[in-house]
Amino acid sequence: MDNTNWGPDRKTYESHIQTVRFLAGVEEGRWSILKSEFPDLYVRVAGRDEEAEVLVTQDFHLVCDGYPLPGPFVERWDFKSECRPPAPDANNGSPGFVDALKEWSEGSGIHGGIYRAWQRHASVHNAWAQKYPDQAWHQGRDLTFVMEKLYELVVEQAIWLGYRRQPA
Amino acid sequence: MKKLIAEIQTQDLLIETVELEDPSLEKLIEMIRHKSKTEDEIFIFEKDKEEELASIEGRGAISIVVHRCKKITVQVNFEHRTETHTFSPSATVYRVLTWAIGKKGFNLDDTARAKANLIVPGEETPLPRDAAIGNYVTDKHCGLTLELTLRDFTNG
Repeated sequence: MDNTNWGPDRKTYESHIQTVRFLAGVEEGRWSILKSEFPDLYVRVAGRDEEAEVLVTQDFHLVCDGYPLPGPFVERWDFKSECRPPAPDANNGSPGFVDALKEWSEGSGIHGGIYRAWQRHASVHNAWAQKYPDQAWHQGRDLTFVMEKLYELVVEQAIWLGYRRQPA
Repeated sequence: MKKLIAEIQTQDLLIETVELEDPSLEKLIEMIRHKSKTEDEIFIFEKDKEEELASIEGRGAISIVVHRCKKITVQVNFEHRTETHTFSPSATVYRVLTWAIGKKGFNLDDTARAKANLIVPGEETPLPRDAAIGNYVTDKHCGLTLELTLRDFTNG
């Protein structure tokens, strides 16, 4: 691949999707790259409730222009339909999953993305990144940090569904 | 030629990335033992796996945790209760948290689960969920005491 014209953001991005931890996550089946076309990255995250044998997959769209600062914009996605699907229903999801994937806007009317302190737009919403430094994105993070957070959300949803399938 | 890239976290918490050409489990273990520079018994795990590393078949990238303990007895305190479970040292904080808030732990309701974190007693920040719990074992007996907290860690 000719990388002579890559800017620093793309060089950093490409190196981050080749780290051991990112690649190991792919090999473990925790996430997969559906399409990487800088600055856009489409991933599918798979979370399991091992006890109840529930598998949940969720697609996400990441936009990494300027990477690593600002951090990636991340939104829920439906790769097959090439669009952002409706937000999850509060009756059909764990509180954390539903809250993170909800429909919200930072004020411009444009979708704000995943509502968590590490996400580009949410990080500045109500100074969330300052309030939760342990969850905030910074230059020392890499893309696997975001993938681990997305993985936690999808596992949380799998466990929530698993609970409802198991006898009390 | 096939290649394996491994990220190895040694007992002293140093993280090193190594590449093995034409990899085998034996070669990888030999390299890890050489890097560990100890005569003591060590145990080698893939990150977040309960069993010791037994195969690298088909792998091109792997995260490894090396630890002197084969199992860690994790005691979690919450309110006036204590629950105990054993995990491998490579288990992530998130795996322990999932157990602690689940039916076999403290069986928290949905709202409480969303707020739950694990913390080392006396510390002010929750443990990073993707860290291996072996990182926090300081005693000689392969035990770890944590607190389950619903505290809001808002900074300010």
